Amino acid sequence: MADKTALKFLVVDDFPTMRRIVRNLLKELGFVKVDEAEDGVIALAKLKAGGFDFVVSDWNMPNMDGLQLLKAVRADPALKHLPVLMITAEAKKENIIAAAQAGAHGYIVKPFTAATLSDKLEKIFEKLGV
Amino acid sequence: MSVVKRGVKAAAKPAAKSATRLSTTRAVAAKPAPRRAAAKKPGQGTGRVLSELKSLAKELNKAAKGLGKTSGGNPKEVSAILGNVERMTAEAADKSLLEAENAKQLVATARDTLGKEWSRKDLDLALRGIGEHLTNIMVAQEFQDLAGQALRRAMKALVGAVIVVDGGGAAEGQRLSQKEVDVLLKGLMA
Repeated sequence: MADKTALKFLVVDDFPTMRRIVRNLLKELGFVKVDEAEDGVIALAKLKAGGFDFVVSDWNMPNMDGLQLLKAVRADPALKHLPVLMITAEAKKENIIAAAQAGAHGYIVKPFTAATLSDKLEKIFEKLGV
Repeated sequence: MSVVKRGVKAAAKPAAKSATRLSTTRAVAAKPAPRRAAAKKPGQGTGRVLSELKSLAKELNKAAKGLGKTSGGNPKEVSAILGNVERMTAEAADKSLLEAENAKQLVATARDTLGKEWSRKDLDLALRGIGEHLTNIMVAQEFQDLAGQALRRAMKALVGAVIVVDGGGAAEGQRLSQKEVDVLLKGLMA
């Protein structure tokens, strides 16, 4: 996709404040197509319905956590190519290893800054050749 | 909600402990029945009542020990968590205020510029600066997420983890910084 700003994001976090922050930051970076989900189950249903190009997900969530969501995305032939960026307070070595092994494209530790989000997104786009 | 489920599952040990405590309390509360039975035959029942009272005392003692453990161990953890919440909220408030003050300063400068000979470039610069400060104020609100997770942990410590999400926030000591995470990821993804 040539125009990055046309990408549609799904922001997954059980805290509405955090979803709102990420949505606003994405908007500031030019990404206006943003939808939200409060846990992995809702996110997966939305992703399966189609139309999303990028997932930004928290780790700790009820029903289905971020790692389970990531694994479910990677296991689904229709979704497995979706870039997934984790934004989470889980910052132990084993968390990062698990996320990388499950196929996360990026990992941001909370608390984070607008610059960090921009930087990580840019790196992912670069890697994917977007 | 599966929050509850996961909390119960993940916190099986503390839940089991509190269940033991609860069942002990229930057992204590369920004791009056034998006493009624003893009242029917006062003479013969005295020994049994004494024995019941002894076992009641034992159970009360056990329960008290359990409560003692709870109040001896958890308040420290809860106090540390709540201390963290206080620190986070204070930092967020400081950050927000500082950013708002800087934004107001830029507004004042821009208004001054408008009063004199104003340039599009200066105004654009001021507006961009104000925008950045507003973004920082927005991002500072993420403390709500982190504080919320910390409060869940505090509740978990207090209630015995029956209704609280597992791992409501990472333990401070083992957390990696963003830089360390980047280095680790780079190695893993290479």
